[in-house]
Amino acid sequence: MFEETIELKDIDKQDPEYKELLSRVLTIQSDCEIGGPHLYVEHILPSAPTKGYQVVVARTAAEEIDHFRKMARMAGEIGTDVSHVLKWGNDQRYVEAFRTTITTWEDYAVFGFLVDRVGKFQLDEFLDCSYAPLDRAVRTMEPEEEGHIEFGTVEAGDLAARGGEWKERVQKSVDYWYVKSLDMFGNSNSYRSERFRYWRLKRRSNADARAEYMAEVNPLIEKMGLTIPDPLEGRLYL
Amino acid sequence: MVEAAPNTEKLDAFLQDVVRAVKAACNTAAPHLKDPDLSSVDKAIVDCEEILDEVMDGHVDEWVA
Repeated sequence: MFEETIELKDIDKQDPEYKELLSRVLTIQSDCEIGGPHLYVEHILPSAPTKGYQVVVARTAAEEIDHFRKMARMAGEIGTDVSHVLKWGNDQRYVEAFRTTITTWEDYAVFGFLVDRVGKFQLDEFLDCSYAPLDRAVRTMEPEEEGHIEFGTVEAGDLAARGGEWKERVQKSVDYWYVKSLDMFGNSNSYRSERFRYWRLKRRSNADARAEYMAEVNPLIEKMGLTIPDPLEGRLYL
Repeated sequence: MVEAAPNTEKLDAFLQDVVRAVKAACNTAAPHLKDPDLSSVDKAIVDCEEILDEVMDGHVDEWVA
C-alpha cells in the first residue's frame, strides 16, 4: 500500500501508473460533475413546479459546474485537459447513467435521492487520499452534494406520499435510477479498482462501496412506502 | 514541475465567473419568492437560464479565446 501524501509539486516524481490513474479518476469525475446539469438544465429548469424550485435547480446546476471546475483545474494542473467533456452530448458520457435526459420532476427528485448519493459515495473515496489537492477539494464539495441529496430525498418522499398516480410515478423513477446507481460503482472484480486502492486514490472496493450504498438507501426507499427494485435486473456491471 | 494543460487558468476563471453569476441571480431571487410582484424573480430565473445554457452549449474555444 502506498503511504505517501502527494502535492502537485511532487507529481513529476511519481510512478507512471499513479499519474495515469490520477488523470483517469479526475477525468471521469469531471465528466460526472458536468453530466448532471446536462441531464436537467434544458427541460427541468424552465418547467420545475414552482419558481422557488426553479431557483433550486439553477443553484444546484451552478454548484455542480463549480465541482466540475475544481476537478478540471486539478486535472489541468497535472497536464490533463478535460475540456472535451464540456462539448460532449449526453450520449458520449463515460458513465452510462448520464447518457439520457431528465424531463420529469419526479426523475429530477429521484436523481438527487439516488444518483447524487452515489456522487457523494464517490467523493468519499477521495477523503484522506494520497493526492492532497484532491482530498482538500472534496472537503469543499461534500456539503453541497449533501444538500442536493437532502433535497432529492425529501422531494421524492413528498411526491410518493401523495399516493396514487404520483406514488406510481416515483416508483417507476426509482426502478430506473436504482439500477443505474448500482452500476455506477463499476465491476466488482475490477483490476483497476484494486490499483486505485493500492495507490490510495480510492478507499473501498467497488463491491464494498455498492454494498454500503444499498445498506443506506434501501431503508429510505422502504420508508417512502416504495418497493426496493431487484438489484440484479438490468444491471450492466456486477 | 509538470506543465499544465493549455487554457487551464482561463477555463477556471470563466467557470468561476459563471458560478458566481448564477449564485448571485439565485440570491437575488430567493428573498422575493413570496412577493406579490414576482418580476425580479422572473428576471433572475431568465438570467440563470441564459448563463447555464451558454455552459451547456459548450463552446469552450470561445470562452478561453
